[in-house]
Amino acid sequence: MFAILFLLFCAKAFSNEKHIISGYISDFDSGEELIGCNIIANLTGLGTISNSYGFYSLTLNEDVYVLNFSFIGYYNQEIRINLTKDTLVNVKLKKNILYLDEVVITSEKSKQIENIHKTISIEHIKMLPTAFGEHDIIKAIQLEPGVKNIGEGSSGLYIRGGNRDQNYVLIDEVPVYNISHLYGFVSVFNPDIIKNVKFYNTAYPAQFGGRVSSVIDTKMKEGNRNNYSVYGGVSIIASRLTVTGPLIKERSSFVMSARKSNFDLFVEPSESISIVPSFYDLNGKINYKINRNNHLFFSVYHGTDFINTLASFNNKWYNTTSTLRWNHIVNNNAFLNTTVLYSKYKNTLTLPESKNTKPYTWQTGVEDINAKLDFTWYFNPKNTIRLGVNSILHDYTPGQSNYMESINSNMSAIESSAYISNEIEFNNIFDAEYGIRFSMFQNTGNAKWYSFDENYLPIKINIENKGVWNTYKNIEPRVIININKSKNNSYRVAYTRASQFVQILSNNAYSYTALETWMPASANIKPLISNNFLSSYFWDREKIMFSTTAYYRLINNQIDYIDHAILTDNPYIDGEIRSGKANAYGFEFILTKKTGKTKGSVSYAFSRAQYTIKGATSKDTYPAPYDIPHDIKVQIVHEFTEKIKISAFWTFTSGRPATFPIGYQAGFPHIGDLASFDWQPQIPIYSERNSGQFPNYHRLDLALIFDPPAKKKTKHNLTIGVYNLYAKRNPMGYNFNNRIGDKVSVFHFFRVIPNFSYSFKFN
Amino acid sequence: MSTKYLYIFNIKLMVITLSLIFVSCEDSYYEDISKITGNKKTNAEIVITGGITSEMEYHEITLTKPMLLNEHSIDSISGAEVNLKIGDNNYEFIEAINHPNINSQQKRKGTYVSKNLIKGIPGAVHTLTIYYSGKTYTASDIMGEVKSFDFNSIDLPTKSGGGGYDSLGVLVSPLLYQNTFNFGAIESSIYHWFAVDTIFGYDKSKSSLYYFSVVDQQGLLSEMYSERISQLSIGMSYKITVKKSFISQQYENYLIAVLKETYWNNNLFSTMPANVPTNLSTGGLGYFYASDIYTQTISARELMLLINLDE
Repeated sequence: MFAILFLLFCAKAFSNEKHIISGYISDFDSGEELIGCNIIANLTGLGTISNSYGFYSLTLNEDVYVLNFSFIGYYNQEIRINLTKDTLVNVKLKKNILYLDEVVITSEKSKQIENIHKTISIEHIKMLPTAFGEHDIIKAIQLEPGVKNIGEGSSGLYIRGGNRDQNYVLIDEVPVYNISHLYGFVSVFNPDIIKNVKFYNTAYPAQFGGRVSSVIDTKMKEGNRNNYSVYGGVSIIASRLTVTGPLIKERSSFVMSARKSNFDLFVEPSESISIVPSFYDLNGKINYKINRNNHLFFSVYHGTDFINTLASFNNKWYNTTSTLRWNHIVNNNAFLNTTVLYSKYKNTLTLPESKNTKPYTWQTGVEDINAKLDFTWYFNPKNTIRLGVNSILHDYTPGQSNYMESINSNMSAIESSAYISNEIEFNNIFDAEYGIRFSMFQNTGNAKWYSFDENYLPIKINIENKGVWNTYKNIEPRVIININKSKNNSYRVAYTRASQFVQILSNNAYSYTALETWMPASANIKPLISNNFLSSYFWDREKIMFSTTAYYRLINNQIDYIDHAILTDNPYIDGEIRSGKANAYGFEFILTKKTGKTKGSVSYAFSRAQYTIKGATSKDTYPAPYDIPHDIKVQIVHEFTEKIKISAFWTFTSGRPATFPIGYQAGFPHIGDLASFDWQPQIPIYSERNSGQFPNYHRLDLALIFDPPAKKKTKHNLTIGVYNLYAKRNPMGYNFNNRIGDKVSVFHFFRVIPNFSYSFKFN
Repeated sequence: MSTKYLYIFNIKLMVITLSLIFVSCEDSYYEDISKITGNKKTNAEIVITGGITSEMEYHEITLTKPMLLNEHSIDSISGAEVNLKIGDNNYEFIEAINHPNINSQQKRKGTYVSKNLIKGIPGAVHTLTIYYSGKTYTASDIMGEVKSFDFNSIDLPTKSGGGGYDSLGVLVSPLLYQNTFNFGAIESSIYHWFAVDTIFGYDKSKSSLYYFSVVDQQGLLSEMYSERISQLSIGMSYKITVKKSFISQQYENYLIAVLKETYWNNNLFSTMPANVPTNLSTGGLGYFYASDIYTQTISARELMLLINLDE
């Protein structure tokens, strides 16, 4: 209550409300709402930005104004208005076809506070070289400074010293628990259906919670309200098709999209090809404008992977998400978003029946039902207040096999949160977004869990039958202050605290050899709490932009396995886990050339991440598995002609930490008569956990883009690329059983991968 | 339950297939080990394997050197002084090559055999002392007392916090054949599958013979012997010896760790790599165990009658 009163006081202190201009901003051709569009009232310097649903609201004194509506890739539009009363102004912006062809990484500039996130345009993503020709949002985010991965075959995002489970990856506001197809080579996001990607790196406002490192907020297209169109494409790895059009002209539309892997269409498992991976994605969305103030949306996503082998194993995982959203304009300066969300992730590993054994099935997953209310009050041009509540019913399966059916590992929980925040412009120099989030996690329902003594031996079994049996509560303050020293120079300092009630437990950094599961907080496992301190400087000129950020993060209750933990069918799994602290620090900079025939960016990031977890391994403090100090990325796009462009990407990173053997010892696990076994294993002797390091990683990718201008009814695009042009052998692992003299055998990714991608669009 | 780990080879196959076909290439490319490990070496100079049981016999301890990555065989340690203390009594061990009571086939360098026939004492601390290269190493284990059993009602204790574990070793001695088959199980609610994998090393082609479960004693016997009888045609005159051994929880941890670092590594179920534990002091490696053993013998005919199998 005090917080609300304080926010209202602050808001009131700066308010001088007169009349409100509000409305939606949409694309002229498709009718789709535009997110992040700038609205500036001339002479006043006052302005706002359309929200995630295309809505804006601006309160101004009674006067005559020229409102400028601008959005990257669109022609500006100016509207003269004599403001004498609250006014509705819906605006349709026309695409600037030439501009759209340019590479764009946008960050809205009219209000610095919006720079908290970076908008990654689909056009930019489609310019980037790829491994298999399939354009990918997650791979594009991996190119951002401060975002690291651990080489090929990983869709993991390690952001500013955070683990890969600390990123809230959303599709139409629903979390996606496994963002990988083909064990990480492609993400689940079909770029043809994605309208907008917002990337919040480390410091984000109070409306977001549940993860402590980042938020990747993707929005699906809503469908063309005016015309039917069909578009799609084919790459080495997949084919895709999207259909969109109006259901009721200018009132309702739909979009449906499908993507399917190609390989399995032509190949079945055989003796020569014993493994055939396949995947598909289905997306659909419809929307209906009830009236000016009410708008309904319904979207679904389902994606499945199936790894089919001749005999040895099958692995299937899928994500299903669904969003029902009601946008309601409460009045001209208040916007209410009511959403009901559903998410299910399930991963099943099946080993087939043999002569003496029944099939073995291991499965893990998460199922969520989520309801939330988000209210935005555009109090005046200098004040926006946001508040909301959210409640999620979780049903976790952290790991269940048919061999241990007696152990019901399912866990239920309720995660609730409420937030309030104020985005405020104090004067021309200072603006801020501050707020507070309250989060609560309650374990509920049937459960069986063990209490452990100081040696982590089980001493008591606890049977829970109903109701709430464990609760965690957290207060999460968020403060982000911008200091706009001049038009071209600004600083930012931020402190944010965030909590996370679920963590991935994995025995390997690579998903394709990992036994990983989402493990919720419980009586034995406390939630992650991250305190993030961040400072940035921005220098932005017409042609060049430079920014640098330094950060420090302290994360409590980071979990890790003990040495030789039993990972499956273990009712005492909590006793195999230790928790402690993770701390991370670093700095990064990026220099971007924004204009001209040749555009691009150079970035460097330095970061360290360390765990201090007592009892997990021989040393209490050791490098995090993603402690990668140095990271250099160079992106260049050169425009030869209007139709032909070339893009290049070069990356260099320090090698990731690893635990390598440094020798071997003999061993005979035997007693008495069992000693007659011939088995005399050579047991590895290791250095400390993660104290080794893979060699530095680097590679160069190229893409040649043929992008002729759109004709009246059609548009085509062809990209031909090469991944790892100079054929660098970047080790993914070593086979220490295959040693010759002083050398050891190396596993690595394909050295050079030529690829292509063809896209079309018919209106 | 144990059958899950019969899949280990399938899983390995899966991982290898993934690695080769889908994920990566191992195209006979080699890198210098020194580049990868930075020439790190272990400081340990000695590795011990072996132990003592409560059976009266010549007990063996083996001493070897750690092997560097660029070496390809394990060297034994000769010339060490090895002594065992059980309670207040000291027992000398003699290297097999110099042992007067060991036949020539067993005279191996690096293997140290008790000078006389000795046996461990349940409940006592057993401390091994090794003097080698100017250093003294010690390793101790307490021999817990094994609980007896008979075939009518095998008492299989379950895991209890802080306590030790029993293991069950079964020796089948077919009178008509010279072959001897061994298998055993460490018995607890989690780790009972352990010994199933140990027999892989004995004869991998027959590993499927050893499918059994120790969830309960009836299940254990029925599954175990039905397999053997159906596949090996064990005669009714066979003598079946069952040995049940006590092992400490620390030794069990060592055994499990060894398996995780050898047969069970590099698969979906493997943990992060880590050193196996040791109870040897002064920077040594390996494990010295002390294990009480209880033995029961039964004929195949009697056993089958007990478990209601048709002849």
